[in-house]
Amino acid sequence: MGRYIVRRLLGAVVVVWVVSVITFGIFMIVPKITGASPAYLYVGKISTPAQVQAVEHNFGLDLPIPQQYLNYMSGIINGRTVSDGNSTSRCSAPCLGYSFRKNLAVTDLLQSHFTVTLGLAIGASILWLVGGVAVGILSALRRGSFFDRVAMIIALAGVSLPVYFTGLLLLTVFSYGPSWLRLVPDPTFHPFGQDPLLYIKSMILPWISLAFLFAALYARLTRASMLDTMGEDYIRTARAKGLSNRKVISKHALRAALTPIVTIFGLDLAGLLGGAILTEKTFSLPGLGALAVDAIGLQDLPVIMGVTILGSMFIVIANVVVDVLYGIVDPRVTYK
Amino acid sequence: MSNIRRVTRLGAIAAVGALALAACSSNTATTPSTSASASAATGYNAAVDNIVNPSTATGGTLKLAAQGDCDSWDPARTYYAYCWDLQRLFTRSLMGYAPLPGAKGTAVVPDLATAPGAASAGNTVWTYHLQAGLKFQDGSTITTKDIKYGIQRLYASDIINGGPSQYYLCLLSTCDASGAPAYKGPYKDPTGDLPSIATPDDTTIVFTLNKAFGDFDYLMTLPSAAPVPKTADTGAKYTTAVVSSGPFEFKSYNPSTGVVWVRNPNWSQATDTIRHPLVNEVDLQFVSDPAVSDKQLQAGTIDLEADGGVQATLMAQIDASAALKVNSDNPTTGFTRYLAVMPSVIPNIDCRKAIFLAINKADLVKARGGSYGGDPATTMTPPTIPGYVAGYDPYPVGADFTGDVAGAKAALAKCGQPNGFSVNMAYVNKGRGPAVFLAVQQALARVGIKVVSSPGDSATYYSNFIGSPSNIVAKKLGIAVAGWAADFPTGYGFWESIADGTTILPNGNTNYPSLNDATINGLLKGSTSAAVADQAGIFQKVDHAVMDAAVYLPFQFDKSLYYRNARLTNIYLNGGVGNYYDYVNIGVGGGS
Repeated sequence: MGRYIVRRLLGAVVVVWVVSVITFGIFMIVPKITGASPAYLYVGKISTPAQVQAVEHNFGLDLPIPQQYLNYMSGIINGRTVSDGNSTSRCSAPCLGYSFRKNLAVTDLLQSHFTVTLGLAIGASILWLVGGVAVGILSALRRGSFFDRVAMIIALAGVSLPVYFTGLLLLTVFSYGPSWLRLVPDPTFHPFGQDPLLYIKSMILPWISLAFLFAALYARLTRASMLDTMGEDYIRTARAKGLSNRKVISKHALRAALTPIVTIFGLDLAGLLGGAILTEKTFSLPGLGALAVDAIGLQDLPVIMGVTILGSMFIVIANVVVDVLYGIVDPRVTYK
Repeated sequence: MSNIRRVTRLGAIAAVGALALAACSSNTATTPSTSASASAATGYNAAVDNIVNPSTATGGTLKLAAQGDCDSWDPARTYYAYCWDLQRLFTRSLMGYAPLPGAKGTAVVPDLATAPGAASAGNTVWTYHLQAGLKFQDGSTITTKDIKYGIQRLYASDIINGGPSQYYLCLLSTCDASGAPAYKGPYKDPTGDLPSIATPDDTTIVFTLNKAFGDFDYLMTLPSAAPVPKTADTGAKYTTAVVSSGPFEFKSYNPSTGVVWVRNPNWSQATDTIRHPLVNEVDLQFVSDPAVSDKQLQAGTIDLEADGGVQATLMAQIDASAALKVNSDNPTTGFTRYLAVMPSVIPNIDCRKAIFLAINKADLVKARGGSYGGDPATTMTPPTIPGYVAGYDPYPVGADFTGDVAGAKAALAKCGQPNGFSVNMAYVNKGRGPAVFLAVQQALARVGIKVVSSPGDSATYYSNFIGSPSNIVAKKLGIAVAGWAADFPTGYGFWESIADGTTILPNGNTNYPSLNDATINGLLKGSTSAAVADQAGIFQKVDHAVMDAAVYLPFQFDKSLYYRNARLTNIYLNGGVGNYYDYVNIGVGGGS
């Protein structure tokens, strides 16, 4: 098991490295091909060639691309000294450079935005796990009942409706609708540290709209998995031995049925940690997803690199964690 | 000002030069709520020319929303129009725009200065004196050295860039052929000086220009001319810690969520005739989805959308509802929307004229929001700039503005292309760009001109897509969609950047068709030393000469539909700040 984990972690590092090379290449090489230096995004619309050259020098954009990449990766490990031409400052490791547009360290930007995305992801995941799995289990156990049919219709709606639609609908009803319905009159984001109660109030609608989508998926998946498991021979054996229904489900069926849920949950959560773009944009949450979209629109290359590397890191680590957990949850799984 | 920064710097006045300078001959306070325009005017468009809900009630918080952060809060680095309006909260310059509605708001009045600049006979030397009692937010006295330093920073253009520094650099320092000034700024040359700006004492500042410039008072209204204390200057990071000289100061700033300003205790009303703040706090929230901010506006959880008009859904609701319409205004923004038709790609003037005559301006106006989005334009000069002549239409396209197909075909025959030709068209690949492209394509197809799509990314469209003459030739961009508004409401402020052939740049060029006409260049140069009374005549000639060259095809004088919270007091649209609401003077009736 130990060797398996080490091997997977090394593989994860290689994957993240490849992602960084590809991302860096795309955003550095394409401007060279089109003749549009990234420096133009910094100097403003009216600029002289001398100005552009000076900015390129300040940001190291006049170095060969491989050298720029090496400097960038070396900064992640060792930190580096960054200059804007007026002053120099020490950018501690992991140094991901400075935002062209916001003049802030990318690491600081990622940190502040990640906490918002983390809160969104955790809150929504609790809701969708509890809600989705519970509904799925009940639907499976009451297969064909009124509850099962209604639950699956709602789940179908949840899977079909895009999150920006659900989000806008919730806002229209609960924030800007008739006064008696305005349960969340101020959906503006408030940081947790500022006021935990206001934070929860500002996050409840984003949590619900994001959780609705995933809960629907998880309800359907859990139902299918439970039905599959309940049809297994060992379940029939357990019943034949006289175990109560409750024990059959909780001790034997659930564990096997939830194995695929664990796998998917890990990947879904990791994907969200990289930024729930649509939810964050709909609710104007300053998370990683919103940061990524804004950076792409402004072609703020250091921020794009930072978000991409961070997002890919979450996904590869989640893959490793999920694979390891799989072996723990299902003793039949062995690692070589 | 090009549309990339959505800058709008324009007001509405017929003889802005004469009236403006005459109006600023005295330094009398103009309190919005007690001015002659303060009336009980209400209703649709009431704020265009009136002060709505005049009141002196103080207190409360003004709640604004915008889709995103300003390009910069550093007064030297911002070019967005609504950001210049917000700069009035916390920066002051030597001169400013009068706090009056509509066209009256383009009057240039003293701000930090005691009077307008005293100009030498040839408009090459300008002298100002500071009022007494001026302080930064930390209590330190504002001196002329701070104003000089603020302008010196503009020369560190590798760091301090993005603002309208092009007006100052070669006016106050010698420049080489490429436009690079000899003075390199206070960072690279900390012991050096900019001798063209003299500060014989703490309250006197003298500008000696390299050439005559009659609009210098207007340059002194821009945020770029705001004082910056040298000890507080952090270069590129100053945007996060601007030192206030105005009635508000930064309480908090998060580039992702918004800004909060609170009152600056060291600002004195006695020194300020422009600002009469009523609220205690101004909150600017960044709401990335404009549909959501429209909802917030309707629900009353915000008071105004700071960065522009409402979206299509709310626009339709306002149009259909008298109750909503009474709280709406639909002013001109000062932008002229046009197509640049490139002589470097279509050298034959008759071929270009064929495009001018075939275009369907009615469809283009629809593509840009219909009647609320603007009115068809027949010439480049907007009605608010000297030189505009009502009814001047050198390329008439019918009373319904749908195009003169017969005239276009005749022009095509004359240019030797009776069956039309193919041309690439550049436009921004988001927003209204694609709709404008389709409208142009359909209109020109009627006469056999095949328009091929050549979209550009919004981030680099103006800087080096259509802003690069060589790229225009390389990609054969015969037509490009663009918009322009004056950086300050004079003919020079409108025309210089788009028609002066002596300032064409290899990148970031705003004279997109690279118009280089000796007559036009001469008129522009002469205007800087001409008498104010002659300005309208000069710029009328410029306008007509530019239209004769058939390189700028205007199709719309832009408008925006704004919605204001009914609780707001002292609210009016100010021509000097681009016909946005004058945020610094708005009250909330003493509410929360």
